[in-house]
Amino acid sequence: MKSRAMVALSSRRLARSARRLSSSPAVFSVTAAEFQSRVVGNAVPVVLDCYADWCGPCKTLTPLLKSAVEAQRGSVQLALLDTDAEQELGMQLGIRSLPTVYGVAGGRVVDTFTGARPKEDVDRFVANLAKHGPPPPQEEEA
Amino acid sequence: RCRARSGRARRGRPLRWWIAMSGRKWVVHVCGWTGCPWYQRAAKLAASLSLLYPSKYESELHETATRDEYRAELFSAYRARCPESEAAQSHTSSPFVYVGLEGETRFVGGCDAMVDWARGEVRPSGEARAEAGMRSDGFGKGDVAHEYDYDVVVIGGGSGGLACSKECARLGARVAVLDFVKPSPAGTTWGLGGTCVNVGCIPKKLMHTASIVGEAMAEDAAAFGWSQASRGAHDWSRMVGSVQDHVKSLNFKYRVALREAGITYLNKLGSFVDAHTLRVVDKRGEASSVTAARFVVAVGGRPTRLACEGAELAIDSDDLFSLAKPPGRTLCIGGGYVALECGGFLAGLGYETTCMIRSIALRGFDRECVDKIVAKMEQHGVTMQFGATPSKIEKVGEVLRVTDSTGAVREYDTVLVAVGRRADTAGLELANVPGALDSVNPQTGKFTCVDEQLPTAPHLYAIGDVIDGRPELTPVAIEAGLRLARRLYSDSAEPMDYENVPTTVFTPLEYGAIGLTEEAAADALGDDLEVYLSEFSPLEYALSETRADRGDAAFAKLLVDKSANGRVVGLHYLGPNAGEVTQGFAVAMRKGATYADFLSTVGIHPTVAEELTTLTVTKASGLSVQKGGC
Repeated sequence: MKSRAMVALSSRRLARSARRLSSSPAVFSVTAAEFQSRVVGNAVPVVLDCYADWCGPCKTLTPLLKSAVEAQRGSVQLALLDTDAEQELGMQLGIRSLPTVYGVAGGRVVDTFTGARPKEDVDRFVANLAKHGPPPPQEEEA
Repeated sequence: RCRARSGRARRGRPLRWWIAMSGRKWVVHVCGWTGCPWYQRAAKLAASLSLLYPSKYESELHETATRDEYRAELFSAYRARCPESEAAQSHTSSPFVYVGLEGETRFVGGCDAMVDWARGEVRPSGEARAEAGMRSDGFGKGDVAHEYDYDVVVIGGGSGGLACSKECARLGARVAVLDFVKPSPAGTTWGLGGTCVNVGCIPKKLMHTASIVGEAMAEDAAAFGWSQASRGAHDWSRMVGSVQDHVKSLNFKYRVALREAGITYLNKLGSFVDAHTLRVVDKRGEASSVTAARFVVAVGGRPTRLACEGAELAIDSDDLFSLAKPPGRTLCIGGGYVALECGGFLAGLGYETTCMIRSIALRGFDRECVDKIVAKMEQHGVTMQFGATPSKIEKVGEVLRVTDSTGAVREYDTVLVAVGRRADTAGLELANVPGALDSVNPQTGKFTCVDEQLPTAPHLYAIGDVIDGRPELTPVAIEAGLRLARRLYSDSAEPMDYENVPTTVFTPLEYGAIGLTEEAAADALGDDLEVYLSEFSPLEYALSETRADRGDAAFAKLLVDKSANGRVVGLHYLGPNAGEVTQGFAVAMRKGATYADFLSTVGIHPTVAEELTTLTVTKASGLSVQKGGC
């Protein structure tokens, strides 16, 4: 049975690590090699934006995703996956058209959509995803 | 109980039955003259029957050198060999085919009739024979157990390969597709989809369209009331960017389609290690192996390069459609449709363009139509240089200096070589598959196939540009691939039909054609050929003064066989939207439409296509074919 001090210590550690993650850049490009650690294993929910350079609608959607994620101030991150550069990963993910966006939380896909969407839809998607994340860091217990 | 002992067929039993029962041989007699393509077909068919079923058939050819000599023999000798047949007595064309056995003869007819008869012999009605002209390769309809990784591996992910592989998978086969692009000499590569999608039909048509849009702005817009529409300079990089974005979206679509069909896609280069094993190497050089019961080779072709000094300085069609910098002053070397189509749209986009042609343009196409295409290219701004080949290409600073066989020296920014295409079979290591090399034409590297099968290595099949003697067209490869898949993995026995394949050349004056050229028809039919033609101006050109001054016109021609009830054996159209105009008529010609059918069809007005339904002036009449107004 853990002592009270130890419980407090571990919750402080959790809060510190959550803060550390949320202070790393919220928007990043991801490769197949980093996919497990930075998307699936991320403690914070991740919007996975699957795009390609030749895809027109992708160019419209990505900026909307960026601003929606930045507005969440660290409780959600955005991973950009170039499906041309990482063709095998794209195929493994079962992507059939572009853009395809996944909401990943707790190692699972909890939401998804394809095609460019208007700003309100994108904001709502990202806000909903943020709810899957850990609660915001509490004040440290005395 | 066998009734036949005396050697005479009894009434009520077909002669065929009697032959089968008695074990005697038919002698297939084919009479014709050397230059007649239908005689040649019938002769080959007779030879094939005797090779396929040597105990049943023997072929005997009666060939005269000229048409006149044939007709003389026809009237004096051939008809007399089938005295009991009325059809034989009134038969006037070449060939004249009959079958004989110990003095008894049966008149078959001309080439078409012989093909029908032969099909009936090989496939008796009521029985669905599985193999058509193909030999059994031991793997049945995909129902024969084997230990290989795949039922079939398709080598080449182009038009033919993808269509064939998807159909095989749909029919339950376990399929893998290999696709790998060896970089062009200039270093260009591309994704899944083959020549058509990446460096052929698709980007070509888009760039040709860019040229047409420019032409409309320059020549038509103002007359139609768009007085502000000025053409300006063309943005090459913007066009290439848009075209390549589209091409890449197609690469993606094909990858998804293969995955959804359950097909394993390997971006690896394959070569044979033994009859059923391929060594496959990826772009990093890592090798592995793949085995299959059957293989479909669909590796297509690549541009033939020049042999002269400085040949490596030229680009080819593999490079043009993704060229980073605008091509500038361009020399297109070659007289085929690749050279002329590329030269045409480059000039249309505003680049100073020359086409250097060794002898004639568009060999094999109707000469009258080719002459009009060449004239239009000159009007369009392309310098057409005939009777020259490049002797030397040198790089002088940023510019290419070309010396040609006449001694002339000229400077260009880009040299495009389009002198032909060769089949890409050398690297397949076919020597490791027993018998395979015997089916390879050593000059061209292409396969000689029967019903898309290599006769000397029956578990190997081939479709598309890699086979010898067939039109090198995407839809031909696709259709051949689909039918092959069905013959391999379903009860279908349907062979590919290469007859009356419609085509279109997308030169500045577009050209759609189905069937024979006028030269081939004249050779085959002589006086039985009637040519109907017309020169006319599309309504859409009527408002433009530029076009009126230049005399922009369209042209249509029908070739009619008077001895075959007016059957249309050739259709030619020159003018805008040639592909769209020509497509529908191909259906009619496949059904044997006659001149009367065309004439009695009501036209759609106002169009250019309707002209094909109203042709009445013949070449023979000498009347003017130029039309005034409606």
